Amino acid sequence: MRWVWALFLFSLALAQGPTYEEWTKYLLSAPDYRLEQVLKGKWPYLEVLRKDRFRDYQKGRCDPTQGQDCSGRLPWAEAQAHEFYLPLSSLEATREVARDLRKAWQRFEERYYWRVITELNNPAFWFAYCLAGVKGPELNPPLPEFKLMVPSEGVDTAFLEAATRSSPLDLGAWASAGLHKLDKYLPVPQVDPKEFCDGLEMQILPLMYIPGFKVLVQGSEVFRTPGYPSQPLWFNWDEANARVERAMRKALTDYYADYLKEVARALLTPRPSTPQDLLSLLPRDFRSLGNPKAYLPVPWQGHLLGAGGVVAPVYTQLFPTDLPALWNQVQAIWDTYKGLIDRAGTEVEKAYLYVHFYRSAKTLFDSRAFLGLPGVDALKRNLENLVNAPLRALTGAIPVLKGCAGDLDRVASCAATALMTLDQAVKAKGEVEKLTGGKPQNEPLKAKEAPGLWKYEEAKRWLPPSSLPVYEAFGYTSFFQATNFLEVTTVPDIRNVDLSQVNLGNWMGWAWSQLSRLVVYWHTPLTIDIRVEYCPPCVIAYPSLPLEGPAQPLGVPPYVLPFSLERTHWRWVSVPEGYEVPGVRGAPYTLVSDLSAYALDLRALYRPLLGR
Amino acid sequence: MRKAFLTLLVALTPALAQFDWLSNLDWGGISNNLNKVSQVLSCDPSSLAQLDFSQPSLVLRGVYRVTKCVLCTTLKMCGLPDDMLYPASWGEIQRALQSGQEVMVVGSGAGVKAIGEYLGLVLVGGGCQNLSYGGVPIYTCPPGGVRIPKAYIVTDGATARYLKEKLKRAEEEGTLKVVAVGGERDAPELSGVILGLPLVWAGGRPYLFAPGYATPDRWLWLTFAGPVSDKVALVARLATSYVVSASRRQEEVK
Repeated sequence: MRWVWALFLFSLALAQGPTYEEWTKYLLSAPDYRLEQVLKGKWPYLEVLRKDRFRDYQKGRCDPTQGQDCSGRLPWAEAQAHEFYLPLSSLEATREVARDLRKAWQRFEERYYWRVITELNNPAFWFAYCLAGVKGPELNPPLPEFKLMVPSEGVDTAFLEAATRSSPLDLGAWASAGLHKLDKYLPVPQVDPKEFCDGLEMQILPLMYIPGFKVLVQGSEVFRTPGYPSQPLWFNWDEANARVERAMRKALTDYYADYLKEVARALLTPRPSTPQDLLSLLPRDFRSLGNPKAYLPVPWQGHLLGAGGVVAPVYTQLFPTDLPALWNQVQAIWDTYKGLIDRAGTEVEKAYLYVHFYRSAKTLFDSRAFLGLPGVDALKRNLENLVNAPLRALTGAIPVLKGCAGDLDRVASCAATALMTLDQAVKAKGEVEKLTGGKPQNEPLKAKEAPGLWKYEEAKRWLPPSSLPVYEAFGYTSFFQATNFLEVTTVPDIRNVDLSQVNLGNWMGWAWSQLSRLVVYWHTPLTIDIRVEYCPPCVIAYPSLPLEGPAQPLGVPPYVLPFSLERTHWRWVSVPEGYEVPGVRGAPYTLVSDLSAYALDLRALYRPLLGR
Repeated sequence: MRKAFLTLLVALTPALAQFDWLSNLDWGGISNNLNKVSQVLSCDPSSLAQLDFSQPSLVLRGVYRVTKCVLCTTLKMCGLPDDMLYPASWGEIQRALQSGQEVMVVGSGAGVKAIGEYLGLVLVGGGCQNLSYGGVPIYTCPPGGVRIPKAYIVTDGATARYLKEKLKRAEEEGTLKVVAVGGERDAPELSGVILGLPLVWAGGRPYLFAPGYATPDRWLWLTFAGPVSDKVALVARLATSYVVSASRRQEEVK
């Protein structure tokens, strides 16, 4: 009996559908992708909406002097400021920003470690680095990979539940996860020693240790000090602790502040930084639209902890001139789409996928930009080949689609109308089974608060960044986002390894990074060799470096460098048109006061570019 | 000239010794022959494959132990202490909470939810006996409550929303601030990975924890040895100041 109840509750849960009105606040709204505007010297942009402010705005102005009740209403100026225009950046440029963020971290990591180790091992290391300036190669991280992430909370729970019912779904991770590390851990600094030697003097006293030793008589050992050769006879722990603490304080206050500054500069400075340079990137004719490399950030309160983020919508190119590549992209979109709707959709929705996809792709190939381009007709034929036969097979099988015949466009629009009829029947709790031929359809296809058909829209969060016509036809845009996290970890990060598999590759690189960054004092043990020589017979004792190696590391607390401060992470996400932009707070083009030093008025900078 | 050269050579010796030491480590032995080298086996390297990654504190401890042992047995470096993290009793944590200093909790997930709820209760005093996790009541709250001037919890968005709802009273009184990392709605399972080791900063000392049981009094609490603790405290103290500005920023954004 119990399972019947469970089944009943389950079907109720299924029938609930999406719930958008509760939490959506920051919406991606009408994007402006008109390429002819680009040719006229206007930068492509998109529009985002603060829904709560927009709602208030729609109610009209509230004037308490005229006896209206204005409790719970926003100030009028705030309600008016509900639309924001965000210029698009190129994906390539955001990857370069990500590289700079990585480089800033690497610089801090190097300065942190080498300050500590040089101050601890003063004067030996002071001679080597601060005086002689021994230095390895410059830091030069490669461009970080593009990785798409789907923030699970941005996706409606009804969709997520449906899509993960059969098996877990890969939502990706922050593109920056595991990248806060050096590319190579070398036993020499990869930054200019001046960067960590500031204020450091040669320090010979106090005495740091009395070396451990072993005594050999005629080549055989007779005595060794306890712990030889790892430990010296005596070690000045107080001084070592004080040195490490001093160095850590210096690194975590001064060098860390530099890191924060560097990050803020990298994230908030447009590249190129003047409107003239930006406009000169825009081509004057269609064929050379290409992908102008520009980064035009929009602070959404800024990236600091407790604020929001810095975002930049991205394109891979303005216009796809390589048509075979475009077809591959469209097919990749089809694969992603089909994979998701197969997981999350009902039988009817799976059928409608053909219609939905066909219409979007057709809009793309029919758009004016492609008019007369050789090869577009081939793409249209490809599309028909993909959709025609399976769609027609379904119109025969599902009663509500029965009357749909004629050419493919006709069938598609007829199927779309039929599906709306079906949706109304679902909402009115009518005879759905008759229309679908016995296939269950409990959820509404069209949700009240969500533009488009919600399941198809949600699936767009899995689509990759693309060119403007593709965004326009399929109705989504990809964003670059950066924000700070507070992380409690060590430097280098102990989590940068997959220890679930102990194998040569992941063990060695990680072990090397950890070992080469231990906080150690290098001391030199001694061997005292006593020999009877014929000089005439006399006893000679002389110290020499031991066979165990000239210098020995002695671990000094905290052994590995701790870190529990803010660190900047980045990612790329895709947002369907009319749906929530994840990972942000407040309003675009506003900065928290702590970032006011970087308060370039970006809105003013972008205004002539966007024309609004 | 010769004198300068000699000084330089002497000066460089320790730096070059790093190369020597690192290059002499038996890397092939450590990695390739894990199963063959009996010395390495005595360090129980297979324990690395059984680490519970939902418990970062235990991962840190486990990795440290194996690394330290491998270092000492395969080659020369035995200068590290036996352990880096030592168990702390629940009584110690309670004393730290009662010391009249600021408290900060960093982490995400069920553990932080539980410790947050506990803090919410001790901050407003009493009531602990009515609280139970999975049917296990907590009797460890002092009847009059604990005087904590200010407590901060830094956690992911989802946990933050949960705690703000649960701990309304303490938040309204201003004794507790919950700071969410990331955007307003984000992906809790991923920021969970990013937040790293769960940390409680209380009484001027850092504590890590491994929330194996439902109630904080039965968890494994870990702390560092004195000199390590001082260094970690240095970072944690700085972190609190950043968290204070973050919570101020949150108000600003509102």
